Amino acid sequence: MAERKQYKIIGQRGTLRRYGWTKAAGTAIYTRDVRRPGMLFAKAMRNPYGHARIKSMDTSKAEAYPGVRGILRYDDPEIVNSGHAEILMNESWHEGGPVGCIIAADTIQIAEEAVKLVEVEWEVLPFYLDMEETLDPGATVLYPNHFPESNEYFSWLAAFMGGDELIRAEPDLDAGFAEADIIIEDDIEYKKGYHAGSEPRSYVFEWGADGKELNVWSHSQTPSTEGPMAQGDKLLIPRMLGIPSANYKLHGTFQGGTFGGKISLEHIFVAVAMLARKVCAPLSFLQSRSDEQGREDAGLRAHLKIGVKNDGTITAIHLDPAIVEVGDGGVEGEAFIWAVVGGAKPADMIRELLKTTNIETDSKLAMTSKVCATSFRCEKNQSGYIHTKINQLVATKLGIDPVKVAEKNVHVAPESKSFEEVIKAGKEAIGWDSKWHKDGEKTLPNGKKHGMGFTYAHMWHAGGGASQFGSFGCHMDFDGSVTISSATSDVGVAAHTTYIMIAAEELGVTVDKIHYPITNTDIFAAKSPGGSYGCAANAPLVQMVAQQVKQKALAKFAPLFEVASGDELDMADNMVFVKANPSNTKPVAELCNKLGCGAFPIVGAIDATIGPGAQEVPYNCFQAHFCEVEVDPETGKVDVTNAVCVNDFGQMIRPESCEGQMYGGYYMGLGPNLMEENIYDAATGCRLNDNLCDYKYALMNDTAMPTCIAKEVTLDEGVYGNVGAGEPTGTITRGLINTAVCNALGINLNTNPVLPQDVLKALGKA
Amino acid sequence: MSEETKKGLSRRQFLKDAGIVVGGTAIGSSIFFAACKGDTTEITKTVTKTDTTTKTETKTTTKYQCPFDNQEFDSLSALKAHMESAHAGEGTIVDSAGNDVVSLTINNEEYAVGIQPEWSLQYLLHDILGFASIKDMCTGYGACGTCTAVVDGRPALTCMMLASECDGAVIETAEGLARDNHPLIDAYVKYDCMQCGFCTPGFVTTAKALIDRIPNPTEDDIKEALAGNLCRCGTYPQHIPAVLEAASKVGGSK
Repeated sequence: MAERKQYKIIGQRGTLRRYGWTKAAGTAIYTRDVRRPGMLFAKAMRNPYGHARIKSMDTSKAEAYPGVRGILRYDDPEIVNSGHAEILMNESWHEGGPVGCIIAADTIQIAEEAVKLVEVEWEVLPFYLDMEETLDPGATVLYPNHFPESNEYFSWLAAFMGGDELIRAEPDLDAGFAEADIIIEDDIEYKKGYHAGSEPRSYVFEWGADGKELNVWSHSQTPSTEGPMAQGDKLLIPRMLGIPSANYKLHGTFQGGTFGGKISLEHIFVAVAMLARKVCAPLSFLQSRSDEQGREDAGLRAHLKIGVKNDGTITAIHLDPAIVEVGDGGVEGEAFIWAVVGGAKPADMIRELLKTTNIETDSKLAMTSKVCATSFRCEKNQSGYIHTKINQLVATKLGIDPVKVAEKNVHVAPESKSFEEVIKAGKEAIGWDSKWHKDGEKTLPNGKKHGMGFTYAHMWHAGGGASQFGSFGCHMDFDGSVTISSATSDVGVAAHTTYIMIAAEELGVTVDKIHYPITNTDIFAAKSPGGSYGCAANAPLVQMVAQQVKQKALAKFAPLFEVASGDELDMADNMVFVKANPSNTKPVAELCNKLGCGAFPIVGAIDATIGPGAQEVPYNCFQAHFCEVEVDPETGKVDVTNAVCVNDFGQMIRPESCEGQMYGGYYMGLGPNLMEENIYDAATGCRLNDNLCDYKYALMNDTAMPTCIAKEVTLDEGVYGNVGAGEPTGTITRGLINTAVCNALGINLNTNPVLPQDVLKALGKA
Repeated sequence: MSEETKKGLSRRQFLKDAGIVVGGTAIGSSIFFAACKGDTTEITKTVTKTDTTTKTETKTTTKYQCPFDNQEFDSLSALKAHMESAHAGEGTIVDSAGNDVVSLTINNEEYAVGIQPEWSLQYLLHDILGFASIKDMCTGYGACGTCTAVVDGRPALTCMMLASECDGAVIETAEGLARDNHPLIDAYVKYDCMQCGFCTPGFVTTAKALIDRIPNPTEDDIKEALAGNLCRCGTYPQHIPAVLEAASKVGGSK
């Protein structure tokens, strides 16, 4: 564990977000803004049924439509002879899936009209929307090419991610339940939610250099080559197209929020690249909101059995069964499969968080006729929901304060004061001790039921603590300015600003001396660009390259100070000084000027590095979340009137960014509590709310604005004692409002979101 | 925000750097009068540049001449109005491809653009004229606010408006506010109002229209004004102090 230090830049407020001005001014160019000379626009045909196969397809009318410049069909030789016929198929396993053909035209409107002119004779096939129906032994097998026996999903990654690596001791359920005074049983459900990242997914492909170089502008969380846990565009697209990875030229664009929804490479993007080659023109593939809105995280239904003592001590937990819905599992639509990560480990959170080790899960992964499920901000949503509900169920059953249940059961590292500090701060901020009451006991003068909600968790690294695989470059130029190069893209977490602050701290220069282009995968490709592999994983790499440059620069400056080596020098605030005589100091820029252009650039680089293990030690830093609701028993409407979020970040790098993840996570966590739900038509398998009018997520006035309290209590395992900020904040709050509504009504609601009709139903009014 | 960052952000230069081409049919190109009887006459457009007292600035005056009576007008809108009143039924103003022409004032610059009847204002501003700030989160449902521009003083969802309905409109985008150093831009940076940033320009233009309408808005005014703008990153709390500060710096003047 790192020692707490006082830094000049790290942890200090006031460093403005790099590219913030560009974003506010609207001059930030995202993939959807890219326009190239002669560019055409592509549109894919979409499956109108829950599951269907093309029996015959006539594209002649579309081909004749004015402005259409090319069509790629599933039975074209480019596809059939590519060795990757899966790129464009004649079958789609869910409504809205790309199928059959892609059309390139002068404008997006022409492409859309032309798609409507394609005449198809469909063979409509069986589909399943429900995770339990699909596992029925009599169910039609949906994906016989991959799973010929049943619709239960399995993969090595699922086994790994859902495995036993977090089990601290062998569970003994019988002993645990024997020790209990009370057995609580309940069924809970976590419904799938849509990531709804702000920028619909899009790609632009342009072939250059004698048709051998593929220029790409992409909205993707994995534009680079990635590591063992994921495979990115630069690895997969060239492989499927049969070109060298070196010829895959990525042009950096700003990235709209992704939240895990753009982590898998979908086959259709490779087909668009093929069509771009066929039409000999730059080709833009702008998906509509409907096109991408099938993407969800994993759903979950579980039967919970909890053993608990009368004082609130949990002695055993059995999830039997825990069914996780993974959609099509990615087997027919994705070049790399992330489904398994989303929800494949439903006991994850409670294994990490609770003292009891008597925890077992009998889980099954169910494949349905929906898009591959991928993690949504984090893969712990489902297990976090289970954890939150377990704490609430125990408190409800025993009629005790849920915070006391947490205090009884939480597993904390021996020397960490984090848990008690975040609880204390949160309780004070919301006035918990004066406001909490037993379930259903408080009706407000306005006739509404009053409820208090609570949940807690540890903070996790999201990608590893001490080090991870990855690569960064850093160089100092002849005027002392510094450039950082990496595949990192900023999906909103201010990655560039954060890494600039780290580099500035390590180099001893001010942040304005450092430039950081938005994305570079030419040589620094082997790194995840954002998403889970964030600051905790990248901080040591930035630290290393910055230290390399500093060491090399000081060695070159040494003769100018007439000292024997760079070891006798140091840098701070853009000044170089002799350690033994700090008054002997010169500006970096002046020294660089004296060295002359021939001495530059001074380069530091970290090639792909596997760090010394990314073992998470998830018991140092904690978070606690509190809320207050009013529930109208006449309408069922739930109003969140107060919310407090407390997170211990160990050591913040950029405090404003940490806070941004707190309120941002709160709003994202709120949605699955109150309003977000993908709705399907049971008769047709079609999505009914595949747009942002009918799929609701939180607007500014939908809830009370949260009070966010960022703490630095206990250092964690990051190189600066830092811990992940993005995932923990938005993950654990997904059951928070549910607990408050249960407290208000005195009735256990076992689903989310808690819609007005659910409240009225619970009250016997609907 | 350093001056270095602000410099070089002229829209055209940025688009050039980003590999973007401004497309379209009639930026600065000829405008014609298509008479009903079939004749087509080019409208005389006189551009005069005049040196002002400083050596670095010039003043540009554009005059549009009526093909019937040679009267001169300061804007295409004025010429159109004149033709509709004085020469009704004689024909329409078109571009060289025969498309109807709308005249727009965007960020204090005049545009005369040939349009297709099905184009939305969002498509015209973003895809044809290259205003990258006009985003499309909901892709045409009017659900998100990312395509908001200030149109004739009101925050407008440009994906919900036909370009053909906007003839003569005065439009402001985030690029224009940034160019004119409107305090909202710096306030948005100061309060970290953006994360991924895709929705940010839509918030900025919505807030601009609010400040124009209510020079000293309250927190509730701001919440009400911004209540229709979606931000999936959840930046909502930060917009309140940013707009309050910007409003105080504007001091009520537009």
